[in-house]
Amino acid sequence: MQSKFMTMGIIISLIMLFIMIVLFKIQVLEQSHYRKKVDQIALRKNVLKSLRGRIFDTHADEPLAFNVSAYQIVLDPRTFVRNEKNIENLANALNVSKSHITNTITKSQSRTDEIVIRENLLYKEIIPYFEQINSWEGVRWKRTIQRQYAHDDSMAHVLGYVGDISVVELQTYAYKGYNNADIIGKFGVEKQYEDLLRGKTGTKEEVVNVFGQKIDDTEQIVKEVELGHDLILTLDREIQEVVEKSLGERIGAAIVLKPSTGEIIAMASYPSYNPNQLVYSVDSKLLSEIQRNVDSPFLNRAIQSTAPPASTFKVLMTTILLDLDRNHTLGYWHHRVYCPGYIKIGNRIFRCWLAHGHGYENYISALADSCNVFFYNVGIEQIGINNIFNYASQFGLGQLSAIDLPGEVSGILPSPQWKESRLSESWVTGDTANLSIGQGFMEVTPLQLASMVSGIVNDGVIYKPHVLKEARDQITGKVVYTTPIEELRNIDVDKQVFKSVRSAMRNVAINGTSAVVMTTRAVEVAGKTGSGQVLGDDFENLHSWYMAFGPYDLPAEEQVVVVTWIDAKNKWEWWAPKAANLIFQSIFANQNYEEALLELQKNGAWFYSNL
Amino acid sequence: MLRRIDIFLLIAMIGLCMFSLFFVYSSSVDIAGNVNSNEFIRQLFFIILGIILFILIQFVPLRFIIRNAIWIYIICVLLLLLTLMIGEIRNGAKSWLPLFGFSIQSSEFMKVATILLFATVLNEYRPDFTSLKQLMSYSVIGVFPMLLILIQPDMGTTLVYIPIILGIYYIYGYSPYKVIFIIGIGIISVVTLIVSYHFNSMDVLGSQKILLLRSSRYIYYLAVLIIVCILSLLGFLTGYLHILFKSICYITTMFGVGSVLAYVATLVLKPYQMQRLLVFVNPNSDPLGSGWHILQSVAAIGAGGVSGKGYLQGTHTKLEFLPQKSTDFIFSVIGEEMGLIGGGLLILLYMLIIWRMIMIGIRSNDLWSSIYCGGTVAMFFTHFLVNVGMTLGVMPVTGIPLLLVSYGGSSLLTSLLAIAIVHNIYASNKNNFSRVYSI
Repeated sequence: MQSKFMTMGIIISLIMLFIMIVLFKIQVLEQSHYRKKVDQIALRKNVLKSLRGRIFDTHADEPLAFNVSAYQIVLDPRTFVRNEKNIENLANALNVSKSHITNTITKSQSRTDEIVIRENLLYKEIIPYFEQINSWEGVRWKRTIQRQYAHDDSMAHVLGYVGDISVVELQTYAYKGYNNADIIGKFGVEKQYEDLLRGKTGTKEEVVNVFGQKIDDTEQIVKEVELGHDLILTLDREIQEVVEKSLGERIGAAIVLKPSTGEIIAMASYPSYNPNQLVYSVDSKLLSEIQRNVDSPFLNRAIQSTAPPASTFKVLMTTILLDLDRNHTLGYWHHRVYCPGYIKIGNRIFRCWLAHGHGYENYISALADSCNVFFYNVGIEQIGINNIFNYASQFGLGQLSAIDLPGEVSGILPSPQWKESRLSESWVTGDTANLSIGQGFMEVTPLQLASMVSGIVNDGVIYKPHVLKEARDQITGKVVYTTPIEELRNIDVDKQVFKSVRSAMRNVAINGTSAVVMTTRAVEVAGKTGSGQVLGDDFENLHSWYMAFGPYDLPAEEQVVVVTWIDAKNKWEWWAPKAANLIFQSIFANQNYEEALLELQKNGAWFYSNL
Repeated sequence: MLRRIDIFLLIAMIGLCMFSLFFVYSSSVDIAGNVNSNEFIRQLFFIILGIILFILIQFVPLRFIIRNAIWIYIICVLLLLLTLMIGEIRNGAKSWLPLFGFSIQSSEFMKVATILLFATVLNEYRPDFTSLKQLMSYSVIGVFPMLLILIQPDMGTTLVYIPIILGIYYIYGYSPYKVIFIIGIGIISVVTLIVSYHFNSMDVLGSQKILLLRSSRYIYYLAVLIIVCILSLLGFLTGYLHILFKSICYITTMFGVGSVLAYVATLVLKPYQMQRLLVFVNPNSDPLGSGWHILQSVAAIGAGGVSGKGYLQGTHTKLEFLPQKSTDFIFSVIGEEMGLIGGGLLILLYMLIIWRMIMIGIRSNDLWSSIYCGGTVAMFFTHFLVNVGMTLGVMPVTGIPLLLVSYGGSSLLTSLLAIAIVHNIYASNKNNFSRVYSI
């Protein structure tokens, strides 16, 4: 009997020893591992969302883009009973499809995280649901922040819009601390200045029990939230409104900028889109609808669309011609060309727009009459392709204008090398002739032309164009960042030449082609029209350009550059100078669009009668 | 009158009851310091009641207990039957009998009743267990309550009977080879089951039958076992290489029966039971499901370290990461709050209590006492091993209490009564304690 009990005792002791060893292993050898694990399990980290900075125009009084309270309807997977009937009721009540709810639930991996089934509901939109929501098990509403834009589709191209971060964006910017629930600037200033606007998220830790319920008094802010900065743009919303209305419902773009600083005062592009619709939309259907639209509403035509500069290029040609003779030794300043209405280069006839010809022209009259033959002639004889290319490059044509907006395109400044590599054809004299009148392969953006005029106004200095004036702290209003006035280009052209070119441009406005439509008396405008042919199309389809500055003869600081461009897709109205006329009238008479229009009509501008 | 007192047994018993009181209270305190249940008051009541009964039993002659063992057994069986008829269902089992405002878990009392009856019957009739018929018929004493508990269904408590019965048989004189044979069959069938699951379908836990055990390969394996078994049996009968053939026969039969049982288990076991078994092998296979409790318990104990987080200072257990922390997982609370020192002390007290019972079993001069002590040791040890082993992640989750420590009137009274009888044996045999009795 004793031996049996002893055997039993030994077996029991050995097993007890084993248990002791296990206890020792867990509590002594692996203690730190489990301690860390226990702390992690019970500690919940919450992200404290930052508030995105607002966007103001230059007056910094009313925000253009701001945040409002919005609501989302969420499911709690722990309490929501997932059956056919519940989902169907929910779908009917919330006006979403059943599959949307099922898919959203299926997509959610977590057993505890809330599932968002509708978001971005405004207060008035959620009111009907309040009562129902309370009666449903596992359904709740939550307050969130919603981006809103004060002027809908006005300024939409500059402001841009925000949206849920995409997979690609998440991969690209993950190092900046984004997560998949974040919103991110998708376009315009919202995208360009994402880092300034966004701020930094904070972290809050709290102890939770197994049900995820917070334990009282355990909250601790580990990292404070940094609010995003408010942006003050250079845009003036009143001038912007005039510019947009002047452009009207014509596909095209318009830019108003201050040449002495590079500040963009207004930038319009038609057609536009409504960013509010994009942040409200339940799905991405609307987004793809806009993207598929043949008129490309997302295109900021002021910087993303190109067309041949046409006759506006003649201003540059004049500048080159005069600068090549800065010492007045070659006689270019008085050079005269006889225009019979055409010129024969090789076997090809190049025509002037006036069939019977302009007769004898010098640079002033040729610019005023926009005489093609004069510029064909000097382009081939006096200037030559190399000079055209060198000077145009100095003015920034064919290069990015370096504006602080995403997606700018550089256009095309052709050269023999360019033609060789692109078309595998050699450069012929006819190409030089075409280039001399801003046709052929050349393509520019409205902003590039505006920069070019700025250079002429500033005696050769082109400042970096920009839309951001400064960034301010969201609470204190303290300025935290100011966009520097940056000299982008300094063109090596004699000051006397610029003065003469400005004078010639003023002459165009008084005596030249656009004199009949530049009727504003509020300001002395100097400018040049352009009517660009679209390759392969008939005469009716022309781009309409107008680039101008004013008030003429005042110091550069007081000047304003206006460039308008109406796409060839529109009915031909020769609208660009007419729009610029309205813009100048409005800016310098300090009138709104309607007042400016009325005043111009009173002063005999018959051509606005169809408005 | 009390003739003599085994002071070590009493110290260990009272010590464990103190543990129980302190940590049932700790379990009822939440993280904010609020007391959320009156379990510790009820536990205190049962401890006092149990100690009163303990003292009363010291005045009852052993003869009386032996004579009435059959009635105690019958009353407990009736209670079990009553439980099956009108019992309350908790955690999916009909284990609680509402009686006098209390819920009685009659399966707990049944264990002591079974040990008593075994001791009495085996002592009285001295059956010959080499006869299979006698073995089978006497085993009914244990198997009958097992069946009653199994249909509640309470798998954990049912399984506790097996080591108790084996312990009793071993003390009575059942061949250790046969005991090993039975334990071996159990181990082989469980391992076969787990291994086949493990290699088959970790991702469709429990919901499907085990394919491997149904495959033709498994049939071949069984066939080979049977052939080897028959051949060695023939060899054994010819008397040639007697020992070798006998041991081959012994081993193959063990494997054969174990394998067949594993196959039968796939038909009988419920998916959740199968899953618990699997999770025990690898808690990470289902960290959010059944493995969750094991992982949380081990983490809580591990975080306790050497000296623990301090009484009432445990966070993991207080944050509700463990279910039933006053009953099944009370050792996790102790481990987290008192660390290795507290856990070790508890284990030492358990060893002390078991050591004293073994000593009393050895020094008692009659078979009845030896069998009773052996059965009680097996009961205490099994509860300890399964419960503490579960909280440490070395045993599957079965949900049986840690005797004397876990909250629960029935199990506490059962333990105190069982120890009371052991102590009664000790006290009754004072004259014979110098003599070592052996059969």
